[in-house]
Amino acid sequence: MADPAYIVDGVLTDGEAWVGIAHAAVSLPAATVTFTSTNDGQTGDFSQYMDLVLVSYGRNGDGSASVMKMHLNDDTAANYVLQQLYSDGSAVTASSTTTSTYLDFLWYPPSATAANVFACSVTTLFDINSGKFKSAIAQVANDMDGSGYVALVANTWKNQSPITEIDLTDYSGNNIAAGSMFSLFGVLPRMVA
Amino acid sequence: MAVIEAIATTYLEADAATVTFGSIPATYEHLQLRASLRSTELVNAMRLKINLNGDTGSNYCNYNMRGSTSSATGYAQTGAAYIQTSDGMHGSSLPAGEYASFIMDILDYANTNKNTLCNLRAGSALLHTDRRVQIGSGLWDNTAAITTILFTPNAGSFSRGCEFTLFGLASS
Repeated sequence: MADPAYIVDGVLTDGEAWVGIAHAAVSLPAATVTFTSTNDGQTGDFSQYMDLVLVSYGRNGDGSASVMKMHLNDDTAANYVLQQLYSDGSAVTASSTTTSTYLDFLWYPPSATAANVFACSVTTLFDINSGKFKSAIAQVANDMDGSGYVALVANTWKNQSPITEIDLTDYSGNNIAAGSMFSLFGVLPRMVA
Repeated sequence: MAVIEAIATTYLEADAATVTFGSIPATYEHLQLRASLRSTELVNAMRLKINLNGDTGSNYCNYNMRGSTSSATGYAQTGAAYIQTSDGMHGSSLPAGEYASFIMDILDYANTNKNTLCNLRAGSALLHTDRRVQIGSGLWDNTAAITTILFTPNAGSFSRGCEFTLFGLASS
């Protein structure tokens, strides 16, 4: 099996710490975006990374839900805990849930929102191959030109398995709008003496 | 030069009182520190303390905005001996597998015409009633280029399994 281009004889030759794993640009309304570890030692193999970073830019395609869901390793049970801190431009609110069925990473405009308005977020999944409960921080911007939210969300997935799959869906099962974009990066460590 | 380089990773195989990144080169534009944190102290939540260039004088300021269950609060300190999170990590009262998440950006760290300012984000203790998410700033009232960063838990030691990676972001 050939090494990725940035590994020569088992040594990282390129100091680039962020590796682009996959990019999903939604060209037609889609129900789900999935990123799966290739488990082959190549760029798409999640097992080599310390963290994962997901950059999201999304909009609801045909529904009224304003949240996207992230599921790790196909777990859709109530195994996610989250703590939110958000503002609608007036009040600042904190909220938490200990029995969430998804990881909270993107609040986005429903389909009735003015055209071309999308929300964005940057989500870090920490130490994804450790035996720890997996944690994440998502920073969300959902500005709908007159309404909206800014949010910071901490999440914990109550599972100690390595992350091998990430599924992104609309909260109510509607489609994700065409033009939405999701980019997954792997973050490499650097062990030095 | 790569756009984002990992300068060094520290993955604790045993408990440690402190973690230090030293001899940080001035060749980047910005720094980012990402960490997974827990203390050996038998408490729920605690502060993470950060000192720059070995300065333990009263030369730091902080602002934090924190969400804790249904409570949103702000916090500030001036004339402090360190930059700190507002309960941004936790102790050993929590489930053994739970570690806090932490990201710190140190912008324009090598510029000797500016006091150093940090941008902090943390999430902690979600499996406990002391759960937190926070965003904050940390100011070091000094214009020196950053060469050393010292991390200390407010009590106890960093637990085995804690992980810290320092990244350098290249100039555009």
